[in-house]
Amino acid sequence: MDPFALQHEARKHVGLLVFLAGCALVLITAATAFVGTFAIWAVHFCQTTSHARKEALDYLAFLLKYPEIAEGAVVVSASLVLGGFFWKLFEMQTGDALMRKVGACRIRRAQLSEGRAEDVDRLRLFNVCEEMSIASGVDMPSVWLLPKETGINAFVAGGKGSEPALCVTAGALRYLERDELQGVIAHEFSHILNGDMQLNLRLLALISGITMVSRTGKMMLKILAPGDDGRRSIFFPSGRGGRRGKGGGGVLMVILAYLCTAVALWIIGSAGVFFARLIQCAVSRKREFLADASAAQFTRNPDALANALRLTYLAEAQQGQTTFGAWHDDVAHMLFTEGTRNLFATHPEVKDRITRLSPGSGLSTDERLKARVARIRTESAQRAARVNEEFKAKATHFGAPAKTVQSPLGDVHKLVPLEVRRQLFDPSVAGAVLTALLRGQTPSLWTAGELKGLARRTLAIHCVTTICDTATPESRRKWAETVQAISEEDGVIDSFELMIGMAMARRLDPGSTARTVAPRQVLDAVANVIATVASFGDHPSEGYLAAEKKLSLFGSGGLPVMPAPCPDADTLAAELRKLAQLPPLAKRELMFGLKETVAQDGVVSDEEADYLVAVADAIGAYGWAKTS
Amino acid sequence: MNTGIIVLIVVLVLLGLLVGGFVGVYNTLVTLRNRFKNAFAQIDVQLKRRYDLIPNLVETAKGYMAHEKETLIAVTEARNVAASAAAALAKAPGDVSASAAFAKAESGLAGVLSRLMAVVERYPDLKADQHMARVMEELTSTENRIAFARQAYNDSVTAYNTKRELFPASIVAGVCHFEQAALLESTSSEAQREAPQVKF
Repeated sequence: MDPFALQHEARKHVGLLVFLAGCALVLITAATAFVGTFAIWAVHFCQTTSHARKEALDYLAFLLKYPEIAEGAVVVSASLVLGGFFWKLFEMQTGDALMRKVGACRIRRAQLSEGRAEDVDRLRLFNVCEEMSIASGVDMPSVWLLPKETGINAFVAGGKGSEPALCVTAGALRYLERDELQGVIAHEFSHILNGDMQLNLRLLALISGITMVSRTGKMMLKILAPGDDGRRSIFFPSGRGGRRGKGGGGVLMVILAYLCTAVALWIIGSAGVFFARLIQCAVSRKREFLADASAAQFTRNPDALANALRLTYLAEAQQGQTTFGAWHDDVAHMLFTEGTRNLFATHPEVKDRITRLSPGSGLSTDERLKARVARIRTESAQRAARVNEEFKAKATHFGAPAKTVQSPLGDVHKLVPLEVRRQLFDPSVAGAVLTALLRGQTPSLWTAGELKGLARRTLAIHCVTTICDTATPESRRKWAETVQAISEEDGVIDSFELMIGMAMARRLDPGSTARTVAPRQVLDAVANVIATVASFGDHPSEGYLAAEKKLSLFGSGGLPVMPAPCPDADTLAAELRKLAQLPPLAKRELMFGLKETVAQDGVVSDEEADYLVAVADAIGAYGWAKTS
Repeated sequence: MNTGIIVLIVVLVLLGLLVGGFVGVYNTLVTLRNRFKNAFAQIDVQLKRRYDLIPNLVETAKGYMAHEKETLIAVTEARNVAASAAAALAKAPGDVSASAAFAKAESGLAGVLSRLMAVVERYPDLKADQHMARVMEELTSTENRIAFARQAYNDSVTAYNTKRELFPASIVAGVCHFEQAALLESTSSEAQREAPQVKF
């Protein structure tokens, strides 16, 4: 079908629907105001004496008599509804914030380093987006990937004022062919071009405004009910005071009016939300057709888009659909496909969409498509089985000691002979030993054979502790300078020197931990540190990824693409300074993650152990290295 | 109040509406015209991208395709011809012979490139090579971009032409000399429309 005719078809009725939604908002406000004034009138009517009742019976006359009540009710209900409306409008996050929340990671062209298979996929995604940007004339949005989502889907977020963000699931990248991916991306670009995000945001805000009415009703009922903790409600204060005064009947009337008002508000609000949602979903379905139609215009390949729809539909027909947890509502209308099929569906039936794109083909499939669907199903079954196994393995190991990694620091009492330790009480001796160790020599007082590895590291840290604990502040500073000077003698700072430097710095200035940063904000620094440590393993990229499974506080998107390791100690130190502000639990997680990294290849080399101790000292993960 | 003043007011209001409408239509036409001009510039940008990419592609493919030297040489030559034709056209825009030469060179390049892409399919080593996969992806994307840039240009030209021919805008277009814009014709010949033949 001609894409331009498709678009014309899809644009119809949206205006009418939006108008209806606006009317709903006004009606709800009016109804709320009416309920309020009616309740006041009812109370007033009951309290008038019998001979004046005839006059008071007229509700309209009452309003005319006390116009300020009517005005007040209108103002209150309007501010209630509009408050909810604007609150939602401003509460909605920018596209980037939403993407981070759902755990997507950003794709930048510059980060697509060479040599990894998935990078070619990401490059393809980025390229397809740029192609669609050319075809549609829409500025390039930021591109995001949901790395762990295996369903085939995509969505856009953000609107006026913030740069739009486009997100694709890993499943879409893996299973869709290039022209199909193009169709899906074109569909999302149409959402940006047609301003659907703004439209949807306004509709969501409208619903939020209406929700305020029902919420108020609910809250009024809640205040009335006695609390769980024996707290009495406002109407039944406590104990004997409950029936004080002579106007018992009047109070009862007020309570009754109050109750009715609350229930009425609740019902009005709920009914309003129901209809507003219906309208919103109807609008959304129309806009989906429009987006499909525009996508067909951009790619001039409606069949590819129809194919993508077919594949998604068939592959996911029997499984759970992609959901985005708590953020589903915010992104549902911008998704490529959606599972629900009823009045509240945000997307039209897949069959309808396919029929419009390529008339007469429906859900019919050829052999190739069947094979692809089968592949997706097998892979997802395998994935489910693997998760199951992992879970079982974890369940059986629960409580059992975890895989033991040799601790980077040992017990100084076992590793260092008593007579050596005795001599080390003197800070100047400790300093001399430390100097020797830093120069790579075996100190003269060490007679127990070759000094290396665990013992050397433990002895060195013990010396640092002695110097920092016992020497005068003056000589402490002097020692710190000496350590620095010796470390820089050969021009490079190796892992051992870095460890000593960090240990010294931490013991001389524990620093303030008052300020903390959110783990997600320093994700890049975390990635750099892990990558640096991982670069000493046999398989850097596997080591890097091994840390990921321990990191839950750093966003659900996992680590970004592995960056290059820090080129020198200064860069690393700068990154570590950022991490020193992490909250304690995040530090702990980071250390556990690093432990996985160094343990990944089965051996913990000296450099790796040095780095572990250095990082623990630098970020102030106190006592971690020894106790674990 | 006499009728004269009322008539005057009515005339003034109508005049205001007329001028407002005129300005609005004029602005729309200018917007549409700028849009297709920008779309035209995009095509150039993408063609340039293709010229820059080809040496990279040939360099990567060389190691694997010892037996396909001629194809690679043909690609390099076609690229150089097209690049110089583009340079010549840039010096003399609107020149009929230069633009014909450019169109010919471009279609020649597109032809050899599609031949090369078909040949690459025959080399599993080459296809598996990460670097080659990247270059091929970039090349595919560039070919798409050129096609999409042309398409976007034609779409925006069509939008502009339709607007300037429809009623109220047609008057403004006539008065202010908004000329009809030309669509891009496909540069490829009938033979190149067909998929490349791969012989084994």
